[in-house]
Amino acid sequence: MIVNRKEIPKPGNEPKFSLPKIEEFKTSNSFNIIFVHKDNLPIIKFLYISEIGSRIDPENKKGLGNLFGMVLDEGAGGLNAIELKEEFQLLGTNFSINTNKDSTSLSLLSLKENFERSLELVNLILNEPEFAEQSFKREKGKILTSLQQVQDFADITADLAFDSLIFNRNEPYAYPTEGYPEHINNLSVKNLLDLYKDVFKKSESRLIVVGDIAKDKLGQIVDDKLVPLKNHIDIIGEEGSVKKDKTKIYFVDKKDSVQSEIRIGHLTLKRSENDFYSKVILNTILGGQFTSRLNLNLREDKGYTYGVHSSFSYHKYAGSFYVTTSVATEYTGAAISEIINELKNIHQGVTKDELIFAKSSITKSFPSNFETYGQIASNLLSKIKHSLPGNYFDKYLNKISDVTIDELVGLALKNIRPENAVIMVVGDKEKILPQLKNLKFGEVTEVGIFGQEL
Amino acid sequence: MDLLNITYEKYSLKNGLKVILHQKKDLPLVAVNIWYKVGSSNEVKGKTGIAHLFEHMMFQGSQNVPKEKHFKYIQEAGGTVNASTSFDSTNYYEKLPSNHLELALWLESDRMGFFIPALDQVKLDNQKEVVSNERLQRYDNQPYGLAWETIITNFFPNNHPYSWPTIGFMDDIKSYTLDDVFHFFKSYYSPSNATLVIVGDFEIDKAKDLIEKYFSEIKSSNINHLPSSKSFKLNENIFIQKKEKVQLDRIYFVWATGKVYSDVDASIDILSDILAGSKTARLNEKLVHKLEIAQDVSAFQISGKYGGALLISATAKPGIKPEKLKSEIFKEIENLISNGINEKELLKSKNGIKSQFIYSLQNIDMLADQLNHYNFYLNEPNSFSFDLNRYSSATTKSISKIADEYLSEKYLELRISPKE
Repeated sequence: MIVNRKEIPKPGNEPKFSLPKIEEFKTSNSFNIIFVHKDNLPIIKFLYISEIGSRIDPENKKGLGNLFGMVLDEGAGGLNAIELKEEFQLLGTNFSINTNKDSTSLSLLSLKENFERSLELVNLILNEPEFAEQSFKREKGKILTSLQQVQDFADITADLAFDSLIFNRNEPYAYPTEGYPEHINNLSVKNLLDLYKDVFKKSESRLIVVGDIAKDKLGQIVDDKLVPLKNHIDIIGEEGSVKKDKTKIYFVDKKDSVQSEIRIGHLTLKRSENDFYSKVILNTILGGQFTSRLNLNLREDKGYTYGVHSSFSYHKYAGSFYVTTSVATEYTGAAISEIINELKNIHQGVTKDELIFAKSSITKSFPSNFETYGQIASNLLSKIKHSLPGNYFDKYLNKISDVTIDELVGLALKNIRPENAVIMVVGDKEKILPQLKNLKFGEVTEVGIFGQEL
Repeated sequence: MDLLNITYEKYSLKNGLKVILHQKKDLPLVAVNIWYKVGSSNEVKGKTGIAHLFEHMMFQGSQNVPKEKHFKYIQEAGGTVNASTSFDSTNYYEKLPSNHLELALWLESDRMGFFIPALDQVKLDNQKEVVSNERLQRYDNQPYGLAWETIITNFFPNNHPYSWPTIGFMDDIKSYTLDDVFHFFKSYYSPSNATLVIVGDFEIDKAKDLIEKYFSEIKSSNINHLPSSKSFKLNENIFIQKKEKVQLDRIYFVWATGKVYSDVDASIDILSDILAGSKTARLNEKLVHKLEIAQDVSAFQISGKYGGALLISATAKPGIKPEKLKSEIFKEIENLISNGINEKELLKSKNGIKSQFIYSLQNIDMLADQLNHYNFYLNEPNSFSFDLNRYSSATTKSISKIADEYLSEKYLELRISPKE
């Protein structure tokens, strides 16, 4: 058989893909559930989402929400911390609590047959947590040690310092979710208990469930197993201003580093249906995937790095654009210069081919975002977090397809501003400082691992 | 359990390429996964890291696919693509919409059969830089990042196939020539040394035709260099101390175990889980929870075709001496050896492992990789039930016996302390 290898094989007919059906309902004990029935495997993914994120940490108590999440499952309903974790393990259930800047989530992945018992344990954690002094001290010690270890990690240091510099210092998103050591030192069990009674128990929570269970049965189990919440208070927030300072270089000295961690970016407006889709496309072209402009330049042409990425990142009440990479120390200045060049060049516009590629890649990969139970749950989570329209997933493909080159230029490009960037570098001062000064991109300032002035 | 019974069809082409097909039509997606029987264990000292560098070169184009286009075509079709290299094997994989199956087969066959004509110095120089940066980013610039390398180079006997890191030593990475790459390809990248797995939404007959079309004309070559190793024990304890730029002391202990899927392999996995596989495991409960002398403790076994090792590591809390960690760890080990394990902790491990088997079936790409894994090590892709049974048949007695047999042996100890 003679095979023509010269031409790319043509695809077969476009396969049919049906979105999972999303159902929203309220149980009689007043839990709001967002649910997808999925039964190719006998498993259930469950999320309990509370709006206690680090962004609502009070002044001088940065780290409260995170520590709250760490202590919440250290003993409940008469079971001590170890016994409680063992109960989950005996069920083969993966359970964890995670706090980020916007929320605290209790997450379960369980076999269908063990879902009810797993939910009983969640209920104990929600309604009868111990908050024992001993657990509090132990978990506090863990987080303090872990913050001490941050300086060992150039990548984590770069992320934290960058966040604190793009936001104004005291804004809700500026500080690390884990908090500041000097604040954590002053926290007490009472602070956690107050947060539990006054906010956690009273503020609205949402349940996300994806799995092999009928809707009615789910409602019944939640009615049965979860004790209802009492009052309702609203956790509010507001969008801060998007500052537009002139580009400035900051660095954290990490002696003997063999690479420099680089973050370049700035704030943008929070997520909006208005320009979200054009920004997804723009970022795909610029730095969102392997064959992006940034990666082809810095990795596949220059060999400065193992990889470089850009993203639009969205908190509930803020957004940012950033480029992230790690480069051999001797290429620090050259890499920053190339990144800034790419951010400037994209303002010349994108080609039709780039637009076609990006749309094709985004739309055709859409079904693969709904493969695992966890993927579907996290899609539902972002729908809740950003209050996306009810038909968001149904309309997604059309919205992407409808984006024009004019929209990319008129809307999305406004969100990439190399003239207003924070350039954050973590590396060996002796070797990088001359390179940074040579760039002539503006002042070069040394800062601490949390971005603080020295 | 029926869920874990994966039906498949397996056959070979005339050139020796093995093919395994499994249909799964939940979503309109298809996963293509190729394992080549070559990993860093096929390398020799002074030429380490070439299996992994070669994996990078496989993305630099082939006769009919220009540089960077492998990624571009797959992504444009809505797919994902990557590869990985380990001690024993190198695997390449794509997941894409089912109507683009032919694209993946075209790309994989072009680099399997027609890689050499596209090879050039500029691409090699570029990827040597990229891989050097990968090494810096993942190992040299990470706290405790060179511990793994220190352990395997000292633990395994001289010239054992696992006695150097898969990423390779920096000097070796920088030394590679086009000739080295050419010879590596000729030595190992033969269809007879590869297995192609397809999982997902496709028609069997159609897929067979496409596989025949794209792969059958590729010529096989002889595979010559195969590693070998004898099972080994340490004759005496090995102690290594290093100072690094870290905040906290960390201590590692390593014992020799056996090859993957040997009689003791699963029991040692369970043993490591009971020792330090979760927050409620013995060492975690004692050192982290109760005494608060460690920030973290973990244990795991690595086992492959040519040997295995059980590792325990613990990071000291500020102000705690590594000697203290060591004495508590050994107290627990001695306690386990003398008094055995109990039913509850065994059940905890078993139930966790059983659930993870089921959770792991969610992605077709992971499923395809697992079929290739079982085929590679056991020559039977449908080994999920067999594999799970290795764990569920363990008893408190068998685990206690294994603990005595292996943890009483000599070990390697590595201490990494803050440089001041």
